[in-house]
Amino acid sequence: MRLGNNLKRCRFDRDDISQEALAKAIGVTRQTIISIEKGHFVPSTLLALKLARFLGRPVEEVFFMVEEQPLASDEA
Amino acid sequence: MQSGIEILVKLILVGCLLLAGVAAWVVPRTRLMRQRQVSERLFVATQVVGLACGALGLVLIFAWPLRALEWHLWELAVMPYALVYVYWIIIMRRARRLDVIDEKQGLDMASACGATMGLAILAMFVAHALYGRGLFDARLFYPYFLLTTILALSATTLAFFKRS
Repeated sequence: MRLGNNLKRCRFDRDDISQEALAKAIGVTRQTIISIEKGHFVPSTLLALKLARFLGRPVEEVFFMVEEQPLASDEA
Repeated sequence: MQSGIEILVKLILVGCLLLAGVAAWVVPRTRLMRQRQVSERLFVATQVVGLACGALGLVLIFAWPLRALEWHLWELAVMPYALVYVYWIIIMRRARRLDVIDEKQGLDMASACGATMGLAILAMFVAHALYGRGLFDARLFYPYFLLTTILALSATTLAFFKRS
């Protein structure tokens, strides 16, 4: 199981705000936003809530759990 | 007997540390600085300075081992890196908190610390092997350890930070 996110879509929905502007508003670096969007970095609960609040969405809409598909060899 | 260069370098080092100490104490009490967080640019610049200082110091201690020790050249090479961290301290004092880097930067630095530990063990093994063959002066162990650690920490922090 991993954490997925709709951060990029939510950014576009909120006046097409840039990564830089979002990072500045939240108080993190642009690299952190890039990393979260790519799914390389899992934000803390506090940061996830800050992002959701800034984007005007419930946190479950911005972040969600993704079930990993078992490998075919595992099923056999 | 101290040479003129040694005295000059010592004066520069002590002068820089005194000025940095005064700045760290005075600047946060003034309105000279508004920065309350380590920005992406400062974070990357810190690692680049660390890379440059570590590499320069290692070149100095291997190219002129005696001069690097007698004239305190390796300490001089490390000074810019130390001054950048004094600037971090100024930011922390201005912000009145310790967490002036964001959580990804913190995680990147923590990961880099782990990688640096492994690299430092490898570097010490190299030094030990060279020392056993009479190719390494024992007085260089401390600067060698410090400089390789700075170099490895800066390089790995930058790599983890830029990985995404």
